[in-house]
Amino acid sequence: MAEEVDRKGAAVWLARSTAFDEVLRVLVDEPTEGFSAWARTTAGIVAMLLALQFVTGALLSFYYLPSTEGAHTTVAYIEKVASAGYWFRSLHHYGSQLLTLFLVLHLAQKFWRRAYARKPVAWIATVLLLAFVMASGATGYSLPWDASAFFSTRIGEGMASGLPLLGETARRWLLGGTEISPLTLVRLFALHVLVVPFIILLVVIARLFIFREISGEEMRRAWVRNQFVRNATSASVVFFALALFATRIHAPLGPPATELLPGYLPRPGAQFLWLFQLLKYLPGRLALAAAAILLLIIFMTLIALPFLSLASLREITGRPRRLIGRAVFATMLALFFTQTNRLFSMNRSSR
Amino acid sequence: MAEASTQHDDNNETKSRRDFLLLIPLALFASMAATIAAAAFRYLRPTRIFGEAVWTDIGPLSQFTGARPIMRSLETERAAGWANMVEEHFVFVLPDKNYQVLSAACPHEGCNVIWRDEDRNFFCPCHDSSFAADGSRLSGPARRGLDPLPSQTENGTLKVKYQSFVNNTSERVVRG
Repeated sequence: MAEEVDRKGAAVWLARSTAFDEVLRVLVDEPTEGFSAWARTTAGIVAMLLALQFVTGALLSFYYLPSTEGAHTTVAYIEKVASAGYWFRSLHHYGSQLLTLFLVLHLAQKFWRRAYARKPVAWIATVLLLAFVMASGATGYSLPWDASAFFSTRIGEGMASGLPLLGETARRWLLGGTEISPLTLVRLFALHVLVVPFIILLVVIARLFIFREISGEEMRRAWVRNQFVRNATSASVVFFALALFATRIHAPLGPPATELLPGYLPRPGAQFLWLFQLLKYLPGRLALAAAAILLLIIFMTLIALPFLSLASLREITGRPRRLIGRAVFATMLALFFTQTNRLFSMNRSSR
Repeated sequence: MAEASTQHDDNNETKSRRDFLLLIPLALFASMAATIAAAAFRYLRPTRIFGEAVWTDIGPLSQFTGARPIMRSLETERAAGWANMVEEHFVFVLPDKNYQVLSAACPHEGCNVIWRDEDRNFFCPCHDSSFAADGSRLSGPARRGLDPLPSQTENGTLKVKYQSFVNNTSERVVRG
């Protein structure tokens, strides 16, 4: 009750007239301190980056035209002529890669705290967000209709056709025909700016307003307040780092898809580099099929995780083997990120 | 802080400290939003439409004879951002008024006027403004007569410099 007295003005109004308190209760897991509390600010970073994608995406759409004649011209206009256009494009381009990175880190810290068992809906929502953010990246990559876009569409096409049973159907539905054509670009545009963002919003709304997950412990207001400050701090550090980065580093824009030169080396965004690398090791047509199925398996497993109640998983993250588990987990993450980083820097220098 | 602790008890001090702490995230959000907003303002600022009025041929002088206005069309080209705009415009040549050229755009809201031979006047189909054979205003909502365009004759060819004017004013103001 002392807490009620403690609150005033805007806070009281918010509590009385909005579902804000309910939302907070749904959002907040058991309080932690120290490094763990800071690790959990990936939530704030993800929220900031997601908002940034929506804002920069909307801004880009003020100039962009989804047609094979207009796409490359308008993107080049944004890049070279419109004031700060290159900055917004770079924010959108690298922001989407950072968003994928921080969603993975967010899942990693949830996994580590075994939050997937306590708050399964939050876990599933995060996995779905990761899946749809990656779908957003895949569809967005085609929009400038430059040479890389053409090849990324090729890869997407190949992966769709690699799906079991309905591969060819999926491929044609994605392309809007039997070949990559102007219809494909409009299709990818509609998916990227209308369908996928709408689904992402639905997932976020479901997470915030529909599913209730009350943790065993009563929420502590002081912790929430401190965590809010931590989240804002982390988010702003990432934001300003990205903002500075984007003033220096332009998002890549290749030659128009129609002026393709032989030997052009297309590169995917950082969030797909592992897939790009994987395709080098898998043989022939099988590669894209395997990649599609692998993606499916990864996401299905992540979604199913809360319901599996695996004893062995608990042991990995639980005492007394915590140290080994921690080491293996950290090594895997580190390996993934350093390898991605290595490929990413290689690509940048070869451009 | 040191001053505050002499005046308030511990409880009050931690409370004001917490209130102050809450200002940090708000300030951070505000600075992020301001960064984006400042750039967005520059990014979305309207662009200038480029394209100077140029002399355009509208035909040899020998074509323009008789007592009624003769309609001609011409094209102008302007650059808007990444796009090139080719626009068609209509003009009336008045052979008996020393080949004066009038813009067909009604000075009311910009519809194209037509010449009515039976009434010997220009008539705007949109809001029923009408203009005399020399372009001066007769009736209707238009606030001035039809706009004359700069024209000249060179080697027996009539040339015009197309301009558009601000709608719905009594004095003529070139648009742009």
